[in-house]
Amino acid sequence: MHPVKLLFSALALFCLSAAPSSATEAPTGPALLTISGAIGVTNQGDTLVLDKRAVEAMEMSTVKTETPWTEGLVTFEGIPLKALLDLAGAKGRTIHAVALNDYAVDVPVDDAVDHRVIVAYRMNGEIMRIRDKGPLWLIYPLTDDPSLQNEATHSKMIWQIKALEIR
Amino acid sequence: MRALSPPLQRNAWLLIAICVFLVGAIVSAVRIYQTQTALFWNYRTGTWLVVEAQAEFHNALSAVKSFRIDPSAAALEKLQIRFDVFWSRVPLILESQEGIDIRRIDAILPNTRKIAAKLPLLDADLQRITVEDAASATPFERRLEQLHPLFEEMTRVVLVQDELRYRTGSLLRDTGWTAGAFLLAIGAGIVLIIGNLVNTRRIRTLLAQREAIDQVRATQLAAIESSGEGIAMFDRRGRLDYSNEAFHQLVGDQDRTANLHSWRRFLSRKGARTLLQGLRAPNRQEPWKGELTGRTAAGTERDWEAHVMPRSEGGFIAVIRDLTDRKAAERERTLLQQQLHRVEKMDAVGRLAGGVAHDFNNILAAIFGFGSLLELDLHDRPEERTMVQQILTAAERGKELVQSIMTFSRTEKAERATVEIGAVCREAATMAALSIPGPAVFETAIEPETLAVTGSATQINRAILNLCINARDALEGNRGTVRLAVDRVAADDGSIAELHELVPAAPQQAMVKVEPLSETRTRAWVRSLGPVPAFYARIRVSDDGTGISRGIMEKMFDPFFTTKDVGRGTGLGLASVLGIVTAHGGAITVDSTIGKGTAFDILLPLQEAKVPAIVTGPTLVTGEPQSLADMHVLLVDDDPNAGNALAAILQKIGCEVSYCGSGAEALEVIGDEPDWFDLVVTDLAMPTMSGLDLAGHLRERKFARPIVLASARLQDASLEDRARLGIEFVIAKPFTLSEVAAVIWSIAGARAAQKSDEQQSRDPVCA
Repeated sequence: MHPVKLLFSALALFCLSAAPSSATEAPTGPALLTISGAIGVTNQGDTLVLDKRAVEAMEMSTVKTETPWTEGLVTFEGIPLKALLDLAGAKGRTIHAVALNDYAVDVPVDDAVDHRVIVAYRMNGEIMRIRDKGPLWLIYPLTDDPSLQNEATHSKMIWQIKALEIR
Repeated sequence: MRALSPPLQRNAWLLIAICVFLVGAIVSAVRIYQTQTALFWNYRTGTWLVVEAQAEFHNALSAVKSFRIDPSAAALEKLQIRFDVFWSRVPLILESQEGIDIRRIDAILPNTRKIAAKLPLLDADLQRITVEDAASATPFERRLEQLHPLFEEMTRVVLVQDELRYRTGSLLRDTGWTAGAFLLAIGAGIVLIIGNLVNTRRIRTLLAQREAIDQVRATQLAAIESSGEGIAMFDRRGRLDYSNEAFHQLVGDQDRTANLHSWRRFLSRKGARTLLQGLRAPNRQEPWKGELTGRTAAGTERDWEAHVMPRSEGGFIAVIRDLTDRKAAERERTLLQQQLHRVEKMDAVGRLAGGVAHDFNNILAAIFGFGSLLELDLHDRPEERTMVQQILTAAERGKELVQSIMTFSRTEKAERATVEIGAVCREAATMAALSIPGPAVFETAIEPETLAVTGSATQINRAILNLCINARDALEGNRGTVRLAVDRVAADDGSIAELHELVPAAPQQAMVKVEPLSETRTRAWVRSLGPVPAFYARIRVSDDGTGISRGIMEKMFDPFFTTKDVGRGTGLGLASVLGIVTAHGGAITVDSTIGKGTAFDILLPLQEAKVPAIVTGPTLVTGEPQSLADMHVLLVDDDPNAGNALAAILQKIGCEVSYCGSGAEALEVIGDEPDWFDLVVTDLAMPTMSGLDLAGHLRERKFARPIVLASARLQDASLEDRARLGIEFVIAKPFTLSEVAAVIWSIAGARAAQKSDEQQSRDPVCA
């Protein structure tokens, strides 16, 4: 490889790694999401803890869909699951998601790539409160992809997420 | 479909129907199950919403109680979160899709709405809680506990309903399976019924077909039974396993149940060999056709025409027609045709010969007439006279020949008179004895009984002589015996009766039937058409000479057939015998054995009753020639040869002769001078006017003088005609001078006697 090209590549990598650095900094506010397990990036012990600031600093994506639990077409806005896993340097195949009431479900890592799954933060522009099934809700684009309209997908759409364990 | 086996092919539609029904039933069952499962699931998720909401309610209640025990910021935060989580569950019951089913249950909506209404109040109570004052949580706790009965009721109602739904679902599922099973049973039943119907129809069709086949078979069997041809079927082992009535009649087997006989039983050895050869031919699958010698139950052999066809299962079918009677009839017909042919030939030859003979007689008349005149004139020149005598001898032989020809051709009509056979035979025996020289012996055995037949003594005499001469010739100059026997035999006597049966009455002429009795012995029969008399006079001429072979016997009655050397025989002997016998309504039998001899029997019908013998013609005067100077003769003859010869003879004996060429001319001459002629001599057969016609005209014109017929065919003038016309004398052509002289002298004598009578009556004084 040409030395100049090598230099540019190194620069590009530096720039890319520099961007999420703010999200992976040690949390200053109350923890919104804790990522643990087989991850490469941590900021609090073995875990990567994201507070409200860290979440809001991340790039958001939008999914418009209907769900069995909401009325009409709803606009969800949140972090793509893929970006979140990349942020944590996740190495496992399964995501063990845990809710505030300790309800848990296993989500395959492949779903993050195969479907445009997001960890929603806003619903119809509003930040979701716990009483609105917030603060974070795993949303599959059900309306865009009718093949997801089944009981298995419904059970994976966990709300009030508090932690993700990569296995 | 073609790949399917025939039964499957027949049921193809049935199979398709079954498949369609099964697929339909399965799809329906799956859909029912899916719908039922989906309904059930929806309901179960709804139930879960209520149960979870109650669980979160309890979590929140637990969190507030934990805070009151250990008031801390963490505990308060936890309570805050638990309350929020509880809150989040309430709208789900009210609004979410999953809650649709449970919202229909009584008490769910009112209770949830009550709870939802309390939530802002609870939130307000929660905000007033402080870490420092544990009691500040009391209003929240109390208000929260107030929700407890609502949740209790909701849970109970939902769980009961869920139980009911579950049971209903179970019931529905069971009902579904039951209905499916029922449907399957109905389907199976329908399939069975359709199958049965199809089967029934097929069976009915098959039965109808079998009935039709049976009917055809019965018709065919009836046709075979009523067939005139014998039909027999033999199995692979050659045993009779079916035969029709005609076959049993052919083989003369009355018992039709006596089947299982081998085919050999019905054939002669030769027939069996023929059939085996026929069946072993290379193309044995094709029918064999041929003639076989069959054998009846009685053992007699029959001629059969057979068609033998191989049967596909082995054995063969034989169709048999009896040819025995047909063959016999064919043989009989062939024989009759041969006989008819011979008769026609003889008839043709006879007509020809008869015609020739008549003309020949006129020629002979001239030779005889002038010959005898010449002989008379040459009395002083012995050398020339001998020559003339030779001519006359030859003419004599010619006359006999012509007579024979006329006899067999039956142009000679002999006088019919009562003939005493014994007398004729004795006369013939005298003549025969002279012609049979030693070392041969001539014997006679003539019954003294009077055997009267109607006929011609001359002809019978000639027939006997002919047979005697033939018998003599059969001895070929060796020692031997010729025997002439005469007796009386009854018509129903064994062999004679047989003759009547065997020889059919011929349509026109006599027929010769030749029958070989053994290798060397042959018999021949000849019978003429005519009534069968009670008795025959049998004239038997037998010899112990060489005998006659069958071949010769078949031809010996034919004219001009001879076994004798050229010049010795004319071939007319037996032909004239046949002519004579058939003219007499008689029969001939010949029985000959090669090397042993021959016997000829002439059978002449005997008169039933005695017929008085007809007086023969006036006795010819033989004696001194009388003076005929004043005898004026009118001679009528259309043939100048014969006429001139007769005229010359008449003149020679002293008559004055006037000659006319026809009857008309003669009438004219006599009409001018009726008393001029003392005598009319006329030919019989003349064109336009016959001798008899002329005589008739003369008698009509009161011509009272004698009329003499001179003819070669004197038999054409019957005795009755002659008597009617007063014709006393006849001259047979050809004639000699002495014969003519005898007649003329007799007339002259009669006239002289008459004249003296007249003189005496006129001049009685002188008497």
